[in-house]
Formats: sequence, structure tokens, C-alpha cells
Amino acid sequence: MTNDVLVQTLAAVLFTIGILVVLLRRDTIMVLMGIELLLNSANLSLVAFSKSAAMIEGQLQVFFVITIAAAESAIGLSILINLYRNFGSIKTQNASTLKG
Amino acid sequence: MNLIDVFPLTALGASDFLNLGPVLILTFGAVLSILLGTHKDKGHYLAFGMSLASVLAAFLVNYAMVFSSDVSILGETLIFSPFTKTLSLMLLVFSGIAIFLTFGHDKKEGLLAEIYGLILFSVTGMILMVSTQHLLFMFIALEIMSLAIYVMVAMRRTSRFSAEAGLKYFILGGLASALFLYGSSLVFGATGSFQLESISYFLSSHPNPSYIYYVGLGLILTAMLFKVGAVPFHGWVPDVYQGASTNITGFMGAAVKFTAFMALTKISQHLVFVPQVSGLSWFQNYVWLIAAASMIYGNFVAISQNEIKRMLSFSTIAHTGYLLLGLCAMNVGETSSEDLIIYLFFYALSNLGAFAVISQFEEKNQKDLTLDQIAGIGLKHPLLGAFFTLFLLSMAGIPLTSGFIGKYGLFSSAVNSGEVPLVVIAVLTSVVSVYYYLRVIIYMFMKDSAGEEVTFQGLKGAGLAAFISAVATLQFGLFPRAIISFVKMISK
Repeated sequence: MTNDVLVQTLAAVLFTIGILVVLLRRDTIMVLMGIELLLNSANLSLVAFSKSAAMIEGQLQVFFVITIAAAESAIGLSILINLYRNFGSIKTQNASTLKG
Repeated sequence: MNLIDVFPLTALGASDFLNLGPVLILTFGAVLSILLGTHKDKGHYLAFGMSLASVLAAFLVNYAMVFSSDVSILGETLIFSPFTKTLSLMLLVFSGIAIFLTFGHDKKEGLLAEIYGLILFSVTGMILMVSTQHLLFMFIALEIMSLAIYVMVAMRRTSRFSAEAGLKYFILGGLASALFLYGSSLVFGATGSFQLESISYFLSSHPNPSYIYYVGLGLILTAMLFKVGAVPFHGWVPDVYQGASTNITGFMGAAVKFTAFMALTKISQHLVFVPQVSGLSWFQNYVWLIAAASMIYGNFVAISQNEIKRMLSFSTIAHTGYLLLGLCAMNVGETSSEDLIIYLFFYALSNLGAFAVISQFEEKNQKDLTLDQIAGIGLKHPLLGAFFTLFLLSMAGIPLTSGFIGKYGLFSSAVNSGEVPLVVIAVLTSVVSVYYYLRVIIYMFMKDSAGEEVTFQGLKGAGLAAFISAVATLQFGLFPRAIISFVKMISK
């Protein structure tokens, strides 16, 4: 396997782990970390593709994605605080009042 | 190789600035209205005035520039053509109505004055989203829009429902954005470009792209179908519609749906509907199946709902199905997106109006209005009852309302392009939908109130929003020719 394929495989594995964390974990802090992992594995894949294609576009984009990920986790944490104030816990299974 | 060689710095000319004007005005207006909102007593009024003024200014600048020549900024990343500028105008109309809808409602629900600034930020993201052809710029615009919406959904801070809805929307929305990003990275790896048009050009000369392309496209489509709320990815829609404050629900149902659907249309046109690539027929069938599933599921589940907002949320899933039908017809018949735009515009206006009427009858932190609670309110408040009836009839697609014109255009162009089986499903399920829309009207006008009284909140802003939407619904229902020919002209 060449380096390109190795890096892409790593990105794909990280992405899968991220999806599993988001879908399976019941702790919302872990879910937030899962979303960060997803964005960062996509970053890794972007950098590797733009290196192998000798184009700088993808690498530049990564800076924007990092900024967005920071904003997203700030908003996620503030939503968590709001959740804790209302439910007294940040486990996802407690927040299930909307059904029907 | 220097960075400056790769990205030559071009100074923006006067016409570039004028075309970027609405975006700049909205951004500065948002910052200013958040600053003004911190004023101790008059915060809400100042933020309301500032946000309304900036939407109005952006609208006027945009309106003046509609027919100016095409401008592309940052090497085709942002394209301002009459088509995209008309979409921006429609978005600005929705946000103006949403600001009126918020005024008064914010005090009642204890929303902070920042909500006006957040509406402006999300509209900025929407305008960028409909103006771009670049996958990664689309991701950034999507996030500018979504991050503001997450906060607005969770903004009823003392309500458990709102906190829960915010959490659900945030987690699933974050997942969808990440899928979009990884998908566009894979598409870039397979085709060597982020520009939709270059990818489309690449595909027509390389009919057998590597399997990476299909994986990436699948991820992108999943993310967009999540954002529009189509059936396998609809789980968040009812909960968020109920949990969010009603003015935000109306705004989401109108503007977010409009934007997400326009982006989905653009992506499908360039990445999925490429006749030279035979492997894509699988994806076309996938969109077909999702359209059918959304129409059937949305309409049949809405029948069993006793709460108004939840019922409307399932009906919005069904409307997504009708719009996906229009998308499939574009593939078969090579028609353009004009019927989709007209349908979305009319639907969004009736949707905003319907939620404006609902917000007139809701207590603080109330989850939803039940059918029993609205029994008899049509007799006590005839004008609001008549408006609500009009909006529901428009969503059901009854003649003399704008919904009929939109639905007729969508279905007839789908039949002309040969998508007959899906149209048969659509017509049958919209017959089903008439049942649950009419049931609300029967409760409002023909039943006596069963003990549970609702109090009329008397919000002037929401009343004005309902009035504007009602006038538009009737106007476009009776005299639709002008707007239809306008949209046809700009989508050429």
C-alpha cells in the first residue's frame, strides 16, 4: 500500500469510529467529541487528497473547517449547559419528553 | 510555488461590492443589532428595528441589482446571477416576515434580544448557500446557517422541550454537516475539483468514475436529505418543530427548507443527473424511492396527530416528498427548477402564516396546541380563523390559493416529463392530506370549545406577519401569472 492509500484508510477508520461514537454513546460530551472526530477525519482526508493531487485548495479549506469546528463545539457546550439546567443530567436518555 | 501564484489576489471592483452588498449589510446589521440588544430597557425594540432596517436595506440593494450582469467572485466560487439574486430576494422576504413574527413573541417566551441578530446571521448563510457552486464553500454557508439555527431552537431557556429539541437538532445536524464535508472530500479525491460544474464536466468525459466518487456522493446526498427532512432522515423534524419557539419553527419551515432544497437541487443537477454515467442510475432510483416514501409516510402519520404543530411537521415531510418528485422530474425531462422554486416560495409563505396564527394562541413554554384547545376559536376570532383556514387550504392545494398553483405546476410538469407513477402516488396522498387539514378547520369553526380555553395573546407583530402571508397567499392564488413568468424568465 502506498502512503496515500494508508492515510485515506486511516481517515475512513477515524470517520467510522466517529459515527459509532455519535450513534452509540449516551453521554452528550462523548457525542460532541465524536462530532469533532468526524470533522477532523474529514480534514485528514482533504489534506491527503490535495497533497496527492498537488492542489492547494483542500489544504486551505482545512483552516476554515477548524474554525467552524471550534464554533460548533462552543455552541454544543452551551446547549449542554442548557440541557443540564433543565434536566439535571446530560445523558441523552433523560431528554425524551417529545414523543407521539 | 508561492501561495500568491496559486491564488492571485484580485481587488474587488465596484460591481462586486454592490453584488456582495446584501451579505455585507446583513452581517454588519446582525452585529449591530446584537450590540443594541444589550440596552437595558429598550433592547428588544432597538434590535428589532435594526434587524428590520438591515433586511429592508439588503432587500433594496438586492432588488436594484437583480438584472445587472453576472458577477463571479473568488474564481467562480460565488456567482451572482439574476437567478441567485431572485432566490436571495425570496429569502429576504421570509426573514422580514419572521422578524415581525418574532416581535412580541420574544417577550412572551423570554427569548433574548440576540434572536434578531441570529436571524440575520442565518439569512446571510442562506444567501451564500444559494449563490455558490463550490462544495466546500457550500459547507461553510451551511454551517453559518445551521449554527445560528441551533441556538435559536434552544433559545427558550426555561423550557425542557426546547433544550431537548436543541440537543437533538445539534447532534443530528452536526452529523449531517460532517457527512457533507467527508463526502465532498471524497468527491474531490475522485474528480479533482470542488466546483460543481467542473465535476459535472469531468463526469461527462469520464463515464466510469472510481467507486470513491459514489461513496462521497452518497454521503453528500444523505446530508442534504437530512437537512430537507426526507423520510429515512426525518426523525428530528417533529421534535424540533414542537420544541422550538413557534416563530423559529415558522422560520425554519420556510427559509431553511427553501435553502436546503435549492442546494440539493444544485447538487443533484450537477452530480447525480449526468446521463453519461450509467452508475448513477442507482442514485436516481434512490431519490425516487425517498420521494415516494416521504409522501406516503408524512401524509399517513399526520392523520393520527392531535397536536397542531406536530401535525404540520409531518405535513412538511410530505411536502418534501412532493418537492423530491419535482427533482426526479428534472432528471427525466430536462426541465429546469422553476416549478420547484414557485412551489417552495408559495409553501414557505403559507407555512410562515400558519405558525404566526398558532403563536397568537400559545402560552409561555407551551409545547403545542391540541385540537381540543382550538375548538371554537374560529368563531371567537373570525379573522385569525379565516387566515388559518386559508393557509391550511393552501398547503392542501385547494384552488384559489397559492398552494394550488404551486402544486399544479409541479405535478403537470412532472407528468409532461414522464414521471407518471410518482405523480399518481403524489395525487393520491395529497387527497389523504386534505383530511387532516380540513379536520383542523372543522374543529375551529364547527365544534364548541371543550373546557380547555386558550387565551388570545394579541401579538401585533405576529398578526402583521399572518396578514402579509395571507395577502400573498390569496394574491398569488388568484393572479399567479406575473410571478410565474418572472421566475421562468430568470431561470432561463
